[in-house]
Amino acid sequence: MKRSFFVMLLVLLSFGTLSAEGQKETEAEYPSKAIQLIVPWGAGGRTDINARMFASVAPDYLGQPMVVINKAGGASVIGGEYVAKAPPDGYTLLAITPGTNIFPPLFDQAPYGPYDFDAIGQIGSSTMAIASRPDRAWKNVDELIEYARSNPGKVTYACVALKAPQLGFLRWADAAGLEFKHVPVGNDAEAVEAALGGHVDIAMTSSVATIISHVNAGKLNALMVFSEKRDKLLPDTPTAVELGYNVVASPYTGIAGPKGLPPEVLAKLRTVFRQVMEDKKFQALMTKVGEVIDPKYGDDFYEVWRNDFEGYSEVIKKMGLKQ
Amino acid sequence: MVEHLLPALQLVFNPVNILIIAAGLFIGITIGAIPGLNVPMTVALLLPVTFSMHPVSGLSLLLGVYKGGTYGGSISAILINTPGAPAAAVTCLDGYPMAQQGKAGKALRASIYGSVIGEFIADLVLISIASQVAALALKFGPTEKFSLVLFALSTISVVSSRHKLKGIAAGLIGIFLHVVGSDPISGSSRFTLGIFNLFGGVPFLPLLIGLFAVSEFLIQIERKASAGKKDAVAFISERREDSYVSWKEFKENIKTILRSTLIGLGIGALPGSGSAISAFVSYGAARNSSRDPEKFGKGSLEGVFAAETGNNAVTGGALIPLLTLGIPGDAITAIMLGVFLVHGLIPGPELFTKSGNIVVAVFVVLIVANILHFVIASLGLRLFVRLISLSRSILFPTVILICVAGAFTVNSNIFDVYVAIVFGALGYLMKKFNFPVTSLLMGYILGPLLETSLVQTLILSDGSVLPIFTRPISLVFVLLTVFFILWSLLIQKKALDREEAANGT
Repeated sequence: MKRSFFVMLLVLLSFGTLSAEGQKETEAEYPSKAIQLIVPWGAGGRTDINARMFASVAPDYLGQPMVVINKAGGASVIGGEYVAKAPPDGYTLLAITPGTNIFPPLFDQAPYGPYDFDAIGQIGSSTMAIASRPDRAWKNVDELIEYARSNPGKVTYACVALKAPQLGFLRWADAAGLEFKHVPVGNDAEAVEAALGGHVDIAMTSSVATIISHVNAGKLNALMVFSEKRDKLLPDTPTAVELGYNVVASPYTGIAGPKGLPPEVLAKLRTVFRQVMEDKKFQALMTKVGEVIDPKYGDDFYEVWRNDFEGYSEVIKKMGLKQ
Repeated sequence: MVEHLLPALQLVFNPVNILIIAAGLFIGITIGAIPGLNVPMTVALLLPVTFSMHPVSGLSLLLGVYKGGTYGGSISAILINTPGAPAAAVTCLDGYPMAQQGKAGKALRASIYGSVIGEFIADLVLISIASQVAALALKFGPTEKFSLVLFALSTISVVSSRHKLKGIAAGLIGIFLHVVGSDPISGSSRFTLGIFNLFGGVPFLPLLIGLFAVSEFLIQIERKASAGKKDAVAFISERREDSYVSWKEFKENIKTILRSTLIGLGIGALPGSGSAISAFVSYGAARNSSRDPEKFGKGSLEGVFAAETGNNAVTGGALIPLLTLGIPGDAITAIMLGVFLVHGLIPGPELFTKSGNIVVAVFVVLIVANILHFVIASLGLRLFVRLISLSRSILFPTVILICVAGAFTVNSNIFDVYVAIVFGALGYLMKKFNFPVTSLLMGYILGPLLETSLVQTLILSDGSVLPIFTRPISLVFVLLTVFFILWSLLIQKKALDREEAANGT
């Protein structure tokens, strides 16, 4: 008897938590209840950490709690779809990265388009960089370009395929009129590993953090970065723009909502976003977790999506990368 | 290193920090032992907690969870034939038969001894020659990794001792399942049937839960329904020697323990592999060099020692590339990298020169965690063994509830629950028809490594397979693979002959 009571209790508890979500809200001034921030990836990654930091400070300005929910699966398309198709009432927001609203639509692998979201703001972006072992025939990017020009298709670079690293690299290679050989890897760390071991010539990574220790120790030369401005950690490494190539590609992390948010809700969210970015507590938290705040507000953030989607669309069409 | 020892000891040896290590181990063992709750997710959820701690305390917590979690999976593997973590899948093969013979206590103790010794030796290697091991690991390019995976796959023929063809078939199904999702090179969708949920591949945790836990649940229901047939349910034997590992048994297994430690260490040091692969290879190697290989799969103590030492030695090995190169070896060390970064410590060549105190403190934490692991696991054992005497009609519904909830909570995605159910049905059918589910899991885990390393090799060699046979390290593994397969066939033939001879008389 006691045992079956225990089992019943377990079952009841598990149902109790499910039904609590079904409560109906009443119309009131926005926001009148908790806001969900959907992270379309698993817990522990960079997007998740950014989202959690944001959600820990935003309630101070919203007057309502913000709950982070990890809704992963289908390479982030499941969470992306959930928000894209959510009612545009401002109670369901998305921690957005190019991995959700740029790349899946680019390859027709999402039930939504890149612009099916309302841009609230960019929290930060990471600096993509290329690096080589010092024993290669080049010490800097000029020498690399020269070498690659006389040895077309011979120089190998390792990076994640068909995401910001490869497509960013290809945009640059195309602008420079160079041909390289791509070796696909699973993540940044594997690219660095392959370059350190001398199995490939160049590691292309989506963040400077993965190479900085090796650069400082003289095991890798940082050749070029793909950000708008030089990276603080690599003050001597030039940007692609400085070298005369019109390529800016920096994977962003930001906040967006479903398209069609009522103007007053969007305005409120954008104001709160700006307040959070300027909040001392938020800045301290972000420094603590090693993230750089590089805010872009509202339509400026939307422009970043446009630059990414159009730039990448052009390069995949040119290279015939789309089936 | 010596000049850092005193400050490091001061960092580690305060009551709070020791308590944190113990708490980490306790959390890890518990989460690891419960099928459906997974250790990488626990580490991810604990990560924000560590932000406000001293880096040494934060790492103490996560290292405790890591070690405890890798070991904890064996508890449910032995007691209810359901691995709490993928690395414990191999432990089921002999651990559960042992429990069916009343030797659960012995199997659990073997698991503790193997885990702790494997960890301890791996930690010593990490402390003494980490940078040399890392340099060697870097020599493993795509070609070497491909032949290593080939070698690991050859152990399928060993794991599935009695039904070789079925084992290979299951392994191939596993490899095929990995193919579902986006092609890693061209990005095109393969076998996704237009289901967006499958674009990222078949989700791993639901697959594991379905294949092992749900299917076991179905089997148990069926047994209950067809009662009367006195079948082998796990129980605790009255005889004292069935609950303890004797000194003689331990001595007999020292060779297995050392071999498995070495395998775990080596595989752990190679980024991108992991504890499950190490457990598979250790088990295969143990069977192939065992004096009585026929016992494997029927409750061999050696098999439990091999699997558990092999998977826990990985925890030491995986820290080598993390600390020396800043390259995480598996999902958990990838999250641990975050703790370093949060505190402005960048793992890699500079870590040892810039933050020697922290590095040495981490070493001390590892050793302390080893000792505490032994103590906590031994104390917990008395509690865990009681699970067996719990009525099945309570135990299994509870486990299945946690499993399904676990499948859901990772991604808050109901699709994952369906995946668990589908694989539950598949696992049930496989078990019924003697297809080893462990081989399927192995194919699924090794599939991605097999494909990417082969593709990378072919891209780098302009389409030639020659490097696989001409690069020395790679050639060694190719030869080992051939030898391994022939040897296991030979063993099987001998066993058959002996059986025939025995039947003939």
